[in-house]
Amino acid sequence: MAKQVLTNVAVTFGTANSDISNYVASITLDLTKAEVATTSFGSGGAVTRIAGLADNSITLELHQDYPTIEKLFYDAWAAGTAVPMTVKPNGTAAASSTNPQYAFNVLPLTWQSVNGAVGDIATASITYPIDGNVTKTGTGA
Amino acid sequence: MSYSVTDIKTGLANALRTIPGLRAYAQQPDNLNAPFAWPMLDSITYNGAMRGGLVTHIFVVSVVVGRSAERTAQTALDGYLSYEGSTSVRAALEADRSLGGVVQNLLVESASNISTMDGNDATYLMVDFRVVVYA
Repeated sequence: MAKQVLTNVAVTFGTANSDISNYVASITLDLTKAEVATTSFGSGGAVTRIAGLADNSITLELHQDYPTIEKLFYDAWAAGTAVPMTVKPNGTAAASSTNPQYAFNVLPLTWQSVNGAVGDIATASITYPIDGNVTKTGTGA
Repeated sequence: MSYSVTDIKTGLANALRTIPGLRAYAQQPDNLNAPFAWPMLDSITYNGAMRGGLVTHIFVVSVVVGRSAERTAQTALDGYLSYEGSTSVRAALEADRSLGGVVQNLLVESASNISTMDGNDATYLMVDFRVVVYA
């Protein structure tokens, strides 16, 4: 697939797999592993390292909507337990190499019920830590 | 939410028609019969959210008030420009910020360009309102 701009990212949130794509202004799925130093006197004078535990997160810039978005995220925040999310960069079509699906659980630790300046569109910014692994699916993905 | 630009213009015109005595049109009218108003699309910004979730339209709603030399026109202009009141353009447009469920939200951002225009051998007083429509 060629280079592309993002206009069609499909995002679901919550146990009911609610489609929140229409409210997502930007999205970042950040996959990170800890760096574990393994440098020793036998490392030949250079730092050596291995990958440690994964500690992933997702950041969303959302357009607010009462109650569609606010209730969904407030309830998740109030419950305080991990909820499922999925992200597909190119729409709702079946997962594939050009549209891989990333599925994971997030822990909704924060929520912005009201955010914005007078006259501006209401928004909410969230960064949730991912609980467990991120599962990537799609043939050839 | 399914809509067209024409739907939005029609919704704006319907809202303007709630102002007593003001004729409102979805398109620019051919005849000068003041006071009258119509919305003109200035710009559209697509892709404010994923999957077509937010399209931002900027409309300029022009109101031709009446002959500029008439005191009644100047008084009417004050009413159209007021934040509140039975002839407030802002109040009329924001009374139903979904335009009957056509759009997600709208905001009358400002009024400006208070000026005159010539037509029918007369000079008319007019003003423009900038309206941001989120669809």
